[in-house]
Amino acid sequence: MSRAITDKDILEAIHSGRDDRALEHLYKTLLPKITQMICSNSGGTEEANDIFQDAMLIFYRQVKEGKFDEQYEVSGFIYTICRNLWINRAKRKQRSTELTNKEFFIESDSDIELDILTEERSELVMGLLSKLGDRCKELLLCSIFYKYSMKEICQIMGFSTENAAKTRNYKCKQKLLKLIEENPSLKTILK
Amino acid sequence: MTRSEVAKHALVDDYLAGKLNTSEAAEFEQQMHTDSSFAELVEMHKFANGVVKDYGLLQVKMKLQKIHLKHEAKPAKSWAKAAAVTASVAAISISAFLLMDSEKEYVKDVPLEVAAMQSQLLTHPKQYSSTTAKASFTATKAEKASEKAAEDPSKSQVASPKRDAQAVSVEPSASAKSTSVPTEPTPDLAAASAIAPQSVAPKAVLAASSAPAESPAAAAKPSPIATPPPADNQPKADVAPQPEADRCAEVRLSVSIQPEILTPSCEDQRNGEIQLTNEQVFGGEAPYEFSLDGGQHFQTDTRFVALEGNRDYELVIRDVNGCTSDVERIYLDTRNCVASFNPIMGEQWEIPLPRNANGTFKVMSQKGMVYQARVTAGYPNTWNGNTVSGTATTGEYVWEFVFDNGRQPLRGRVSVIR
Repeated sequence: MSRAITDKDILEAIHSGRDDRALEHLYKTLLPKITQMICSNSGGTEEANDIFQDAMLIFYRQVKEGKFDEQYEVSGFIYTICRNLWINRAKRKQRSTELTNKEFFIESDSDIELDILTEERSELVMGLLSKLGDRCKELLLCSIFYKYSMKEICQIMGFSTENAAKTRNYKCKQKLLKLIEENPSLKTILK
Repeated sequence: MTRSEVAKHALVDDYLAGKLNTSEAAEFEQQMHTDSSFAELVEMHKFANGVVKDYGLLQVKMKLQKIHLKHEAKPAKSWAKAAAVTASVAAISISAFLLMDSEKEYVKDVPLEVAAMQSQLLTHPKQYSSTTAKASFTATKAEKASEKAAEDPSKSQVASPKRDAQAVSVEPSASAKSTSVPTEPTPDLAAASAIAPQSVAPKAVLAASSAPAESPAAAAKPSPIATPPPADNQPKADVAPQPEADRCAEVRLSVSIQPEILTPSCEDQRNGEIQLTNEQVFGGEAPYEFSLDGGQHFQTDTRFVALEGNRDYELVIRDVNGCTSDVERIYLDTRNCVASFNPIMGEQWEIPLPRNANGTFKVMSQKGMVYQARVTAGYPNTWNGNTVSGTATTGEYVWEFVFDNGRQPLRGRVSVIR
């Protein structure tokens, strides 16, 4: 019954949204390795945690959007993203002269940094969504982020009929579209 | 809102979710080409969906931060670090909170609320009479915690010297987990540091990095070889085909117990609660049923109420196919629902909240609300007697904690003596 968590479990957990255990598993197994990698390359434990979280979100997004190639091992994939993120960050800090381990830093022209949720972006998103109300927020998360079917949404959120859920979903979406329209500057910042 | 409008938006949603088949999608794209206002609508939806997806990812980030906090919260570690992470979580929540213009209504509502709460409290006079003379709440709590630490190893076999008493009581599942998950952080770290002096680890990293270097695209798509040094080969070898009859052997049903789902019972009462969610269940097939008595009685409701405190519950989950989880022991604490403290003497009152709670804490006197604070991930968990008009004067105060997630608010009284 209590067996090791497989990659398949992790991907399923992310798809279903019941991911607490999978996230904890990845945290426990991966963070020590990432901390070691970053600490032996001029970084600290807090930086390691930041990088780990950023990498997890990149991984999560790829899985959610069906872009994750399942032939890769999940832990290897996240580890490599962490390494690439750390390379970019270390370069930006222009600390390359102090690096202990020069060969470690391979050239990376990837634009994974673009996928990172910056603080500015996070705040705008949180601010925008908070104006929607809790129920709308949850409903849109269910329909757009978790991609649950209307039937599942009925169950989760207690709508009596699928039609009721659909109509409510439509109204919430309209509300969000209106909020975005009222803030034309958002589009340029969040682009 | 016309029906065709709803249908049009639903179609856009389906297209963006990739739910249209090839010919439908082709027709859809054709329409985007010919109708620029339609194309604009699709763009708007796409953008809005992006915002919601980012929001979803932020939820994931919050979960990761919570996990980090939980593991960081070992006694010897620096408080400052944990506080910094809490602060960053708080920053996000607070900014969100400020954007909700609910404050005006809220202040207006207070007198009514106070009246309602006080009448409710007065209906249970016994509950509040005896304890006012008690010593500072924080002190009794600390005593209780150390007692508990002494009891617990024998009771639920959770003998982990590294965890503090509170962590042991809230997470009795920890010992069960550490046997099942092969890579616990401690042995892992030990392994990592054992490798480091011989510089084997950096070499392994180099070997891994040489693979992606061959193709530029590999930076974002790492090679399968790029597994971190102490490779975890077990999971894949583990998936052996099982006979049909033994279908539950394939099902690994488990639940992740977060401390915030537990509401301790008031002392000498039975009003504790355990609020599970389907989201916490991992594996198996929904809908689930839940039992707190080791699998004798199941219920579909995820909420258990009127529970006695200071005892263990044996949680078992059953999925739709009748497969059950292992027994997860949950310790439900008691809380002191009445307390007194002296702010002039520098005492603080520890608010009896479930760990990691998010919500709004309010204190009210007869005149109305005197204090209000946002609580994020369980902090701040004390009240030092400060109010909008200076330090609270001697008297009884009514407090309330309103959860962000819509759970039944917690209420109680606290006496200030000075």
